[in-house]
Amino acid sequence: MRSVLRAFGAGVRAVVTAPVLLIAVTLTTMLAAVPFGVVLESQLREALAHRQPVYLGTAEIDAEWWLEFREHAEGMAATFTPAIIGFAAPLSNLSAILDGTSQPLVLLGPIVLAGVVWAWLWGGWIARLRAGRGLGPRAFFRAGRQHVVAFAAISLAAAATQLVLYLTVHAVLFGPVFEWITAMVATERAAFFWRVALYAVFGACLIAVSLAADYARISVVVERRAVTPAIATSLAFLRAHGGQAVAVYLLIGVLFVALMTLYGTAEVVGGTRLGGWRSILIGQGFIMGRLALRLLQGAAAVSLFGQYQRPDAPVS
Amino acid sequence: MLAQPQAPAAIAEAARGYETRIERIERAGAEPLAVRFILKPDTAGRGSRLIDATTSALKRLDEWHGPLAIPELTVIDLPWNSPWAGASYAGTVVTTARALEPPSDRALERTLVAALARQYWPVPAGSSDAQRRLGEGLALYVGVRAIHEQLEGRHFATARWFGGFVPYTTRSIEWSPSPTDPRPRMRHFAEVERPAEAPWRAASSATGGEAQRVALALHTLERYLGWPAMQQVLQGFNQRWRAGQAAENDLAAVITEQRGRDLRWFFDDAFRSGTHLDYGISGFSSEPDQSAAGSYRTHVSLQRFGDGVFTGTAEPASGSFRNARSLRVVTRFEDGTVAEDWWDGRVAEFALTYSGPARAVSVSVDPDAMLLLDRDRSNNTRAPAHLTETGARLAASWFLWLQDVMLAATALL
Repeated sequence: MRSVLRAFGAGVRAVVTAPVLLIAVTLTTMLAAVPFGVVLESQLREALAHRQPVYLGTAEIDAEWWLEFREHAEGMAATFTPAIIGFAAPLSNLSAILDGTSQPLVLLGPIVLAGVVWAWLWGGWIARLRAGRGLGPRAFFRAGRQHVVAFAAISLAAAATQLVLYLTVHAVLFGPVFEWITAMVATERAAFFWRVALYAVFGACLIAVSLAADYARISVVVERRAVTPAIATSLAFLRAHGGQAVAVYLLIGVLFVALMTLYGTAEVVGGTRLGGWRSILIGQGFIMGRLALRLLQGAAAVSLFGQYQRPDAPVS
Repeated sequence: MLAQPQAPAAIAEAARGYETRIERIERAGAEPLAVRFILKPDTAGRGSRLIDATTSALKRLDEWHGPLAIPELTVIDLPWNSPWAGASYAGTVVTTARALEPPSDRALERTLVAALARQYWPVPAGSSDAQRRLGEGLALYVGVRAIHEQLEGRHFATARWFGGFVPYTTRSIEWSPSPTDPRPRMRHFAEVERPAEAPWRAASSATGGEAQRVALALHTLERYLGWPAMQQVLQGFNQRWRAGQAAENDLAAVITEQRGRDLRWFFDDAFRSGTHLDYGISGFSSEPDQSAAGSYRTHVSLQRFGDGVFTGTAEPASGSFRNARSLRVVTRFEDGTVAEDWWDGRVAEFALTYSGPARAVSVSVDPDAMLLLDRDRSNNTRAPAHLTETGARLAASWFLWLQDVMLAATALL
């Protein structure tokens, strides 16, 4: 338990002492989304301009117009649904992950770009953690560039494994298993609790793959291993210290739930007082919070890995 | 009188052992109606919500159609996964109160109101296809309209996630704005039209199907005539319907009797799902007039893209003379002036030309969105494409959503 708390504490310290980096990561995430935003903005501007005058003059978007728009929308514009508004956005995305809802193919571009950006960011972040001090932009860029190919390969391997999990475990759990359960239980409440239990089972599978990828990345930087041996090292590490790794992950998961709760509560309680541009600012704050948690997960994992690193392991 | 099909015994069987409450609902001009509520144990606490929704829906629908002519009504609340959710048989309606259903989520009311609306438009077995299509279209139209009126001002976009168990309401998207709001209201609710194929439906309610076309025609008719007139039409036609064998031409006849207007021209195209109605702007330019200094010449080209026509009159065309005012065309100019014109929508192409001291900035055919049957209303208006504040906020919301997608998708890799 002490190692878990030490790793968690080290992670928190690393993030708190790197506010500039957090801002830079937030800006990078925004920049990665900008090209797609420009495409959507032009489609939206065109569509809004072609609204019949009866729709003009209202402060909020019209539900009927939105339905009409979606009937004709193609490409990126087809993703413009009411689920993008406020807290509905993270909630629908989380639900899509757990329910295995297929995403429009057009999102493949942003997702692949995000994967590449994070393959690069992880290199810089882990190198900084390893150094125990700020690296400066040039060294951060260099470290990111040095590991981007290896990290992209690790992410690709993780993605392929997750896909197999969705096609097998998820399909069985939320297909015949859940149908069998719903036929057996008497109330909706009971069915929901069973579904949550199945989410936990499937979530555990996803987390296992995610942790394997995390520690493989750390092994690449810290022990200068190639991708395949790094994955083997990661799996060996998780076999030996999986309990601690999961505990750290869950602690950060609690923070994620707290962040979601805070965002959701602010939107529900705040109502129209937190509408308009305020809600956009709050939403960007939420994204920043998520990024902080992601950096925290990386930092805590590096700390935990360092605590149990074998003396004979190659060190950078 | 028409006899609606009886509820299958399986529905009563599914509700065996449930709590029963009997309420007497007072009605204007008729005996109180005894309503038996059969509530499942885990949602019996929300019985009052069910009773309130039933009472107000019945009062409203009675007002529109005249009193519901049945001796007793049974409202059954079945489990969430029941295949009978939304069913409506003679004197029996089925709803499903969900375990997680906060007051902001109105799915319960929508299901109930849609099923109750169907009680007023019974379609007996053995009816013709045309009558089944009309009956289903009327049930869809009245159901949606009653939902809007019942939930006006407290009806917001709600989606269900996590396997459909967790609802979330987005209060910035209002589904039922005030009736004084001139914008068209949402016409599609899952609780009204799904499942598309169901034993209690007179015809399929599938999107693009014939019953949906009838419902859309009725929504257009309401925007054309106005609700007060449409309500009288509904009541008059409902009397004929309940007497049996009323059809589309009877509906046209009721309108002619009540309004003194021959609307056969409308029924010819509006109720036929194969007919494609689509009007739009095919060209718009406003340039300085070379022959007159300081003057602008504005050309507007209108096009009928579909084979259907919306003429506004049963009179035949008289040469190039426009003898009807069915489609309004509004052109706005930089100096704030507005030119209003009319088109009877008959010819495939129609042009308007204006000369004046200001450049035209926008043009719109059917600016009030009266013709909901128009298949593509995105071609009805030409205006400069600048991003309004609402648009900018929506684009920013989407931008946040995309960042979240990018984060969520890579979180586990």
